[in-house]
Amino acid sequence: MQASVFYASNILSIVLLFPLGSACLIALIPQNRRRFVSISGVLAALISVGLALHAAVSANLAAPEMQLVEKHHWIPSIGAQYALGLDGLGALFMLILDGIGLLSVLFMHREAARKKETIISILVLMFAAHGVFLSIDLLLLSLFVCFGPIPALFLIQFTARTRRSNLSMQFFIYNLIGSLLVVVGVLSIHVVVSRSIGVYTFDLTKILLSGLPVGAQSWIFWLVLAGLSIRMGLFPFHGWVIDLAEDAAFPGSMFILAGFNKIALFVMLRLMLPILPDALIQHTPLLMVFALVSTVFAAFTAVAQENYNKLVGYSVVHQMGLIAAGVFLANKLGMLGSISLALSHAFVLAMIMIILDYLYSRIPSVLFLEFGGLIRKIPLFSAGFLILVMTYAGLPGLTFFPGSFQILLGSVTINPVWACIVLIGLFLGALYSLQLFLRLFAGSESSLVRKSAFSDTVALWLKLAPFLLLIFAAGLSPARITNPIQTPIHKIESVFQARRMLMRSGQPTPAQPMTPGVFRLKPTGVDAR
Amino acid sequence: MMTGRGMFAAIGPEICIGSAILVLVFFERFYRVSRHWSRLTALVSILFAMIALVPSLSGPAMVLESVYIADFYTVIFKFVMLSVSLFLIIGARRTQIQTEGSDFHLPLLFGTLGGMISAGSSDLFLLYLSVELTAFSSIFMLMMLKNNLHSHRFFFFNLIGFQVIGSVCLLAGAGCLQIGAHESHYSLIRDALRNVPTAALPVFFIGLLFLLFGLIIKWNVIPAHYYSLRFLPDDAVQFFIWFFLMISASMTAILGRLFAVLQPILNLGLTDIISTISMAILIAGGVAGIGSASSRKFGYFLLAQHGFIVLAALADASPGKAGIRIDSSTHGLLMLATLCIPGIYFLLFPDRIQSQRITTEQSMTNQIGILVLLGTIAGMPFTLGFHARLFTFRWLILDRSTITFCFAFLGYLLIIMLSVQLSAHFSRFIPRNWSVHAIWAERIGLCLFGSLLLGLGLIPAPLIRVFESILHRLV
Repeated sequence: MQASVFYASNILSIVLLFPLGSACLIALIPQNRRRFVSISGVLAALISVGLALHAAVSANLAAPEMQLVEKHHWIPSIGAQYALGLDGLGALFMLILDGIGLLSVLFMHREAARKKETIISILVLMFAAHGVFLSIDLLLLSLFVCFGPIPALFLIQFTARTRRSNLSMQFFIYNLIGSLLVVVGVLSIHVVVSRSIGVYTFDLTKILLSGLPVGAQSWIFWLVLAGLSIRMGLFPFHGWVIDLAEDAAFPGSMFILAGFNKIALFVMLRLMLPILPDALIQHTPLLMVFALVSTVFAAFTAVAQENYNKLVGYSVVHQMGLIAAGVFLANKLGMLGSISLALSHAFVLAMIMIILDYLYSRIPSVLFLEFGGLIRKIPLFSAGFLILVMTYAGLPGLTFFPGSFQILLGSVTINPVWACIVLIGLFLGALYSLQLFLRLFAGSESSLVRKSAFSDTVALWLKLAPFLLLIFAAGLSPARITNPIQTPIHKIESVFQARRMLMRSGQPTPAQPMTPGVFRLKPTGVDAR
Repeated sequence: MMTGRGMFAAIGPEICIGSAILVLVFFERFYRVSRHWSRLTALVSILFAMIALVPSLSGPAMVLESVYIADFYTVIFKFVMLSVSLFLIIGARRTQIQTEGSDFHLPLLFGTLGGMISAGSSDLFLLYLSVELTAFSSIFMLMMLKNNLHSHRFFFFNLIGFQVIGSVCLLAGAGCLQIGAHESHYSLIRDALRNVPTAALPVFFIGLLFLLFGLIIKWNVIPAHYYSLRFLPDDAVQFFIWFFLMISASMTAILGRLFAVLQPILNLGLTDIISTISMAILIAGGVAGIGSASSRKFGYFLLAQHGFIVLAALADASPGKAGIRIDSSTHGLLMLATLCIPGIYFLLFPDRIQSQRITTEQSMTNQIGILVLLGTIAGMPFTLGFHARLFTFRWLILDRSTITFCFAFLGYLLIIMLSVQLSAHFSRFIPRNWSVHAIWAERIGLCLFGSLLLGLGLIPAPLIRVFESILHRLV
């Protein structure tokens, strides 16, 4: 009875800490018990998904306020709290990351070196991601954003095929700079809001209620945007994405390219849009140019690739550009489309990378030249891959379509020129996706393909089947996926509608009254006591 | 006039250490003291000195005609210095430092005493003498440990009395150079600075620069780190850690007070000069470290931290920002804790960082422990070190010091990069055998230490509250 009460009142802390706790336990398993390590890893990831799902079901995600809130003092002198809460947005992103984590552990090679350490890194990464999705204290959120690259660095170190030091260092530097810029942005928000309301606080609700003056919003916005663009791997900060994809270390690259970069999207939706709306409205044209250049440039470059891993890398930059464009539109269609596309992208990319990794294990080459004619050798396998590629290309009825279509519609309502560029981006996306399939599977058989044996394909597809079903389900009934996020998206949209109306009416946007100095401030902790 | 009892309460720890020095000198002169007895005397004196710190907690006291302060702020630094010396003595046994009699322990006690006096000093000349005491002791210790004459360069540079020149100019500039009274007392200088004539300002600034330059040399702060890195990675590495921690503690204490004295003229461009110096230390250390080999990298990694310490001290004394003094002082103390807590581990287990290639760090438990220590010093998120930086960045944003902020941020990034490079050196990610070479006691020790550090990083509020309560009582 007491246990169930404890569970019910601390459910979010349990969801947050479970992956970390299981990582600690797995660390205690002896190195030579590889099978036991694998089973424990899969079980931990599965239970983590289950706990996240249970938390999402327990919460009333249609309610406008945060659910299952837990609050404790953390650093009272500056008003920082250990504050967790769940809404539809957090729940959905948490499930995406957990799903990718599960895929990573499930498809890890039986003979992979450093299996135990890899699983531990994945679980710690899941912990960091949970922290971002559940935190409703900005300092805690930004610290989790900052913490993420550390286990990711280890993940790359443990799994990279070549140049592991260079790769991990490059990844870490990019992502750490990005994360620290977010921390600086959060500290600036804290300072500005504290001056305004007279209390030191990092509380998201209080900050949202207080609002920021337009002048302060602008420079904080650029700081946070720069940080998140690096974390998302948008052009021109995409160097780490391409190098990581080129190495295509499984499951390191897969987890990071499919799941890890979605954390930045979440932070955009949680932090940047609701807190800094005026700056976004002011700079929308510039931001759209930034996102669309990223999309078109990456898609064109992807088409020209001779290396399938690099093609996948540029496809990530392309898709993240589209997702960012949807967010920058700041209307309901754009935001829903972005989230839907991000969800689809995470799972479809993960499965494509799993299959490419399987191909690499049979034919150790990353060049299209060495492939071709696989369709004759493994027809069913090729058909399965074709479905994934068609999904990636945005075929109607499959999961990419609703998201892409919503972004397109969202951009039409604001500026038809942007819609045209989005359309070009989508077309190029379809082009490189088809190219990926045709150059690997169609054409005449290369000598390497002729010599290679392909077995275990049925087992591979059996493992992938549940995720494939999910793709079909999401494509056929996208509303089921977007239902939980309707409320938070509606909240963000209403903020933007109000600000836009205010701007159109020509009235000066109200700035918060500033107190003469910061030195009269009281820390929230002291205040509460 | 202070009673004898009150005097003992104020300078009890110094008396304990001083007595031990006298005893050792006396026996060394007439009988040859064995290494064992010398160690025992040093240990007992340090323990007694720690106990003697307790009466100082009853309240602040000014002794020796007000040139020496004993308050809570000072007690913290004295405690740090005593602990660091205590751990060095314990750790030195493990590495079997090859010295005879009290050759090692006498300079160690002298150095500790110098550090303690510098922390409590409120007079320029007493400050000079105490800093010299630490500097000379460190030279002798170095000569003893290195067993060669390479330290002459260190010795030579230390002889240059920039501090004296600086102090004289400072006093002349302030227009209060009257022999016969304690005109070098901090409070008198501050009073004089409030009415300093404009014509005297250039002399005064030159004096101040000399003084800072002198301190930088004595403290071996970058770019005057001409000798610090030369004794890495050999057997004197323990000395380096001890010296670094002693300097960090005395630096935090001295600069905190010195900048408070200079408060009336800080807004005349001095803040910019000092923050430029601190950023130069931070960035030069970071850049030099990135281009260095593994053990020198570790040295630069530590030395660059002085930049943050200077910045924290500056934050304490920032003009017109009385309300944030507590925050920034807390940051200074947090910064010190960040350096000292992992430093103590390195003092106890010097073989962790002694050699270019770490061969004992093969077990995962040990690796994680080492990574936690490095992460804490570097200020990785969710470690105690991060909170220290957080306070600095927050202060800089509050103060709207954009340029300093950008450079501090860059320096922070460089230090984190150094820590990542160092962690790669320590853990060597190449898949090798992960067999355990460390003994179980070391592993347990490291695990407990790592857990303590992680715990403090995750729940820093109690530690911050302790610091704040101490500082509130001070203010």
